[in-house]
Amino acid sequence: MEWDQILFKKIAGKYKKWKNKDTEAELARTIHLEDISARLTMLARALTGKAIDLKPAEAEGGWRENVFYLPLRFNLLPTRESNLRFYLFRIVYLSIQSGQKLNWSRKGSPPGIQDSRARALAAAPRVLKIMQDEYPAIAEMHNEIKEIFTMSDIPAYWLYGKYMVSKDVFDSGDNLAPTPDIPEKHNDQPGTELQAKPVEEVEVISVDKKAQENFMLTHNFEKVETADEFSGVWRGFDGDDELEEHADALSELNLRHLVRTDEQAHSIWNAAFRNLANIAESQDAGEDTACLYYPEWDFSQRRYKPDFCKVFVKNIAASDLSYAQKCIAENQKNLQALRRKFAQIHQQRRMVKKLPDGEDIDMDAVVDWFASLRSGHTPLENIYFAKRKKDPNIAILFLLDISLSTDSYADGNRILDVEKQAVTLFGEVLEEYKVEFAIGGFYSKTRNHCVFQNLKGFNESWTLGKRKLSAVQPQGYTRIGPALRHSKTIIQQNAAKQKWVILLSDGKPNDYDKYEGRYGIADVKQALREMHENHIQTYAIAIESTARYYLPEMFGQNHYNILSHPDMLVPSLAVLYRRINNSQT
Amino acid sequence: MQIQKKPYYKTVGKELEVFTHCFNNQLAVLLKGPTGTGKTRFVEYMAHQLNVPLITVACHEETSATDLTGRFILKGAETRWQDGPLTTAVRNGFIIYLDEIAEARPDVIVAIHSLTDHRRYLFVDKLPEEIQAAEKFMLVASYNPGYQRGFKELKPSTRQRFVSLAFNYPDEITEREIIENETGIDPASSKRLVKLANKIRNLNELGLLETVSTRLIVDAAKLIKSGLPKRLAVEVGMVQPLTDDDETLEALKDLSNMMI
Ligand SMILES: Nc1ncnc2c1ncn2[C@@H]1O[C@H](COP(=O)(O)OP(=O)(O)O)[C@@H](O)[C@H]1O
Ligand SMILES: [Mg+2]
Repeated sequence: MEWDQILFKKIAGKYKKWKNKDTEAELARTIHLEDISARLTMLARALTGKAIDLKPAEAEGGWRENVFYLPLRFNLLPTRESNLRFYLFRIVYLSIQSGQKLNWSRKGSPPGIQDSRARALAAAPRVLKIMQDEYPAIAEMHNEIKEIFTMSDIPAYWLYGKYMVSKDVFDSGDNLAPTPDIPEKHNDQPGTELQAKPVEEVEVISVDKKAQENFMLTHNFEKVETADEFSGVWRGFDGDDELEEHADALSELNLRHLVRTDEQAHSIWNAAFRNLANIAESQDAGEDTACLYYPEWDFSQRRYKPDFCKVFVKNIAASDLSYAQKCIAENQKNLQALRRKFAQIHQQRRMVKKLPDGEDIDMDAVVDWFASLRSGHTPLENIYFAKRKKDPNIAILFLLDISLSTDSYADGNRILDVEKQAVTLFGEVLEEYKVEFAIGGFYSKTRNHCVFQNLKGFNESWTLGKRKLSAVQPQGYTRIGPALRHSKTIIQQNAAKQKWVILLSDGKPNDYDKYEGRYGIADVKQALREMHENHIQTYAIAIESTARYYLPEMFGQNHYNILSHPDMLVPSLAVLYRRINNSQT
Repeated sequence: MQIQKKPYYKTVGKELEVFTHCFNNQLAVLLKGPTGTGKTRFVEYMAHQLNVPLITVACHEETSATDLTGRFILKGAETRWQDGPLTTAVRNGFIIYLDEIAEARPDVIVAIHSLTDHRRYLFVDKLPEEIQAAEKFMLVASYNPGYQRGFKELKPSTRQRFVSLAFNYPDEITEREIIENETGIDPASSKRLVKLANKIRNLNELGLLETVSTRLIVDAAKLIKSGLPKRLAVEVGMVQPLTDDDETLEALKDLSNMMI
């Protein structure tokens, strides 16, 4: 049966049956947003042409900037199939609604939930009219869902969501003036009060000066955020009253999902603690270390902020070789496979034809030779070919994200370990093939403190490089732009014709002074553009599956690879190396 | 080689004039643009218009200068020289179309050098012979830029040897007209197909996907025209060719089910 021809009505006839508290049946028909979010994200992006992200909502949800909020799970319709269709409907609905900018404007007092639902309901005919014209199949589906909802007394806000507060809405078309059901701000709560809000507008976040002061103690460490969570702790702002701007960043965080096991919490606390210690330490060290200044791209202004970031280049104390040795030992099979792949690639590349002497005879040349002889010309006797070692003339710089977010696990593997493993294996083989490479690690603690760790310079020994690589520990945040810009500085000093910078990370730009979301992605894109203009090629290897949403946008199709599993390491490194080699013409 | 039936080509910009002037002035032309934007069709059309035979070579990684200029072949106890397509075109004054020239081996670029400037000759090192191009000889190449696709770039010094014409996906109305003309499909269906294609192209702009070309829409439309159910035709003709990723496929199927 075609998917949009599900006869809801038929099933709805058995309404009583499905509505009773049969938990097993309920479970069976429940759709969890999480399970279909990749599919829905893609759909929303296709429909809108914007980089939409999906976030779970407390209840019915709505839209705000580039985020669609949807119910965490849904089971109000009688079958699993129909509940899935509900989500599809919501995506189409929100695409149209956001395209029409139907939302509260940011001006005025924050509206309450009742008003927000009422306003959304009032706007529904306008959205549905467009839906009818553009997606008749979905409009038809809407009618059927609505019928069931009416029959079953399910509130309409599940269908139409609620109005949320958006920046890019200038006129909320207020015939229904909202009556704030949120308490006025108290005078002893200074600073801005803003109805921003990640998950729902039910909750008011206000800047608490005290909380800001306590900031250093209850550090809002990156790990929590990259898991799309908001710990309820305010970041230290460098300005006085930047809440408006911060709201953008906040909207990308998610207030829900704070469920963690004790054990995780414990290890995270340790991580945070370690991070704190590092801040104090590195800030001291930073005082007298020379630093480099790099600009940053402000996409909203479409201009550079000159000398905005300070990059400190640091050396790292080498540890012993045991980590690298263990990694190599554990990956013997992978390493062998990688060697074979490299050998194949080089085989193809190293064929040198038209030699006066060589390993083998080139048939094409023999025929030519024979013909020349016959036609009375003196033949060239270059009829041999050899598999010569061609000077690779390639320089590769590996840029490792060593931020705290790489301390988290994807599929049971710590991201930073997978990164180190990838570079160790790749390095082993590159060394054998005499390809020049360098390794840098980076993390940041605001724009004023971006660190670039020199793990291996182009002229430094690989053995030392391995020891330094072993010593790398996760810390700080992920300001990718300055790290890329510094990589460019380094690799430009190399004379190789083909220059490659390869980023290994979990993929998400993030730093605690607003370097995230659209801003961060735009800066990374700009930094990549700077490299391409200088004929430096780029590639990204990400270890986290959600990277699929931002890596393609930053790096472009075919210029990234997502390692969903370490088993993919060898094939993907081989693919990358083949590309590097093919580009060498 | 001589194009008999007049090919259907819908003019999108000033490409017709530009090409004609290049032909009259013996200038080489580079057609830049993603696959399936009508580059090949345009060259066929122009060759027909100008009444000049056309030779098309689809270049790939293994295409070498020898493949284009020619080689000796053994025939009994004899060896015989056989002109390659480029040499044939140069001698006889044909249009040669080197499709996806950036994919070919570097010696191809070297071989065409002397053909792309005022000298207009081809040096065949195996003969060895310098062949002066006949009056109507014209070199046309295509190239798919955009760092999102392959890794092969065309060097600026090579690019400067050509007059460049940029091709892109036509606007909605033009594309619908092309689809209808090519396949004879009804206007309502072609409208939906083009709308769907443009939604999928949104994902391409976000870097998530290979692009839907006019060619793919034409393919899907042909399948519909010949009686395949619409959704199936779109799935096999327009969606499946784009990706192997399951989740992406599912999203694209959702999308096409909504719109078709
Ligand atoms: N402007 C156009 N006029 C007519 N047909 C077109 C046009 N653009 C695209 N097409 C259709 O798209 C198909 C693919 O075009 P083609 O010339 O092979 O693309 P390219 O050479 O750019 O890869 C053609 O077979 C034709 O059906
Ligand atoms: Mg990070």
